[in-house]
Amino acid sequence: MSARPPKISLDQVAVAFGKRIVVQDVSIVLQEHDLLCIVGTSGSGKTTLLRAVAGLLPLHRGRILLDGAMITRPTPRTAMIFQHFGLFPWKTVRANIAYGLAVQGRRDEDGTITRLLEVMGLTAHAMRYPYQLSGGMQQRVGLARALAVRPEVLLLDEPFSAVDAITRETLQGELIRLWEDPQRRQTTAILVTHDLDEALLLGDRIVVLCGTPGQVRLELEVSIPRPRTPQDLRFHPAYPQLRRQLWEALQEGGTPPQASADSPIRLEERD
Amino acid sequence: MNTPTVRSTPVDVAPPQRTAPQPPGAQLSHRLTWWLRGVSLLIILMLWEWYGRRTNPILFTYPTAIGHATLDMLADGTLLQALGQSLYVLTLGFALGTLSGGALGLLTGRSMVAAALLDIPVTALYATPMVALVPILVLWFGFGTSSKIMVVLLFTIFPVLINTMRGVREVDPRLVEVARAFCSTEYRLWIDLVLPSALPFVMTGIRLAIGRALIAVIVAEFYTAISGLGYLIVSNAHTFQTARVFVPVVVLMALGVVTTGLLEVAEARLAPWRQAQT
Repeated sequence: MSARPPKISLDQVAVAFGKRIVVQDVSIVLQEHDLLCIVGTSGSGKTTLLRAVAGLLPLHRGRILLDGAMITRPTPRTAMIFQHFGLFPWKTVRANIAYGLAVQGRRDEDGTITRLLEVMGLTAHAMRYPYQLSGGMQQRVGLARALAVRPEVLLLDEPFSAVDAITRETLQGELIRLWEDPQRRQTTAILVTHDLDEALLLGDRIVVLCGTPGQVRLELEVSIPRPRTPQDLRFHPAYPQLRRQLWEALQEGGTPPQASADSPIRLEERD
Repeated sequence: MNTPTVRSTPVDVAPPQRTAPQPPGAQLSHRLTWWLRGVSLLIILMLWEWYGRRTNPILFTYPTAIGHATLDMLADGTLLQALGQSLYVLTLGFALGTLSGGALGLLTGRSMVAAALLDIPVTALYATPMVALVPILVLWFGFGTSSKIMVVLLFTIFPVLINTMRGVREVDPRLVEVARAFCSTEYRLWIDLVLPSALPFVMTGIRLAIGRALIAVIVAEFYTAISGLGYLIVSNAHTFQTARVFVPVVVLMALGVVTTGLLEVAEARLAPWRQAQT
């Protein structure tokens, strides 16, 4: 364990909608350049938690710190990628990617937009509108828009669940490639997904969020070395055991922790 | 694959369909659309001509007679003078109505306080037949041009107001969250999100307002100091010059068709992202 101060820390976080508590007692610590995956059953509040980290939701209890400062509202240091892409239909691809910079009153000094268009293979589509693109292309725009603001923290909310399986693998591969780019050594990311393989492929660590209200059921270090690819992940010797652990944690998820007291060891299990 | 003997159950082979079934509302080609429009117009005109010529000219008229009357009225200047008067009232009232309707719509759409304040009065006034208010307007603004402009304004303001308000409220909340996540200011939120997404609704409001503005002009010209195209209709009707009555009517129709068409062109220019959307 390094002695570096944490980049992001969630400290006994609870989020509520009105009187209904959606997420409870979540404590997670991320170091710089960590990529944390949050998996969970639907309704476990994983998206809610991510929106809280983005500063979009007020906390019911606890606190979220970014470099030691409380997050209470959205900051330009984080950028979010949405399951529904969240592109503006009336903006061209280029204008959509430039949106974050424009809205934060920042200039595109060194041709960031043009370079991102290139990296994402969107140069030929720069002047087209989102409806003219496939889902995979649209999410590339979403990814480029988030990267354009050079965020310190990247928040991905089920980014690839709305595209087909083949496109998903391509995009996952691209995300890994971007992630391992030395330019992005400063970036820390949280990715929410319900796809266990996606979590194992992308995450340095995986948190399993379960129950109502959602609580951390399992936190797991992914011991598979990088670079990983969607193709060879399944053949790594550590893969079956890790996937099984995740699966079992999710299976118990229906009941709150105190009710499953017959298996306390597995609950505490950490790598 | 191609050996039918392998099939376990014999299947009645349906005859191949000549044309693929089209979903309802499928697009016709541009040329065919215009051709069909022309045909429909021609058939209507021919039937009208045929029937009109067999009818008493005091009770009814026919297209060629209207054509002659139009030329006469252009020659003696009455048509252009009347058209000028009507267009003045129309454009001024319409501009004031759409602008104030749009502004109030944006306000009530975004501010819940404004919405709560204006909800019931606006709905009540929208439901009121505006013709009923004309005598009161005359009382307030007199018989002159200002009262005519007020009539047009009152007829046009509500469809624009209500549609704009709806458009502002229909803003995709997910995109609002995107804007918040990227730290958008309220001003940028309007520019990037609220105005573009309300635009189609505003356009619908304006399209409705055009029709109502044309009604309003004639109502105003009938019930206040008589003038413009309304004057031509009344005065020619009183002297049983039926063909001449129809000239301003046709001009009004043409005005409606042309302005609606121009609006569609403007909408395609302003909102190109909507073209391929269903």
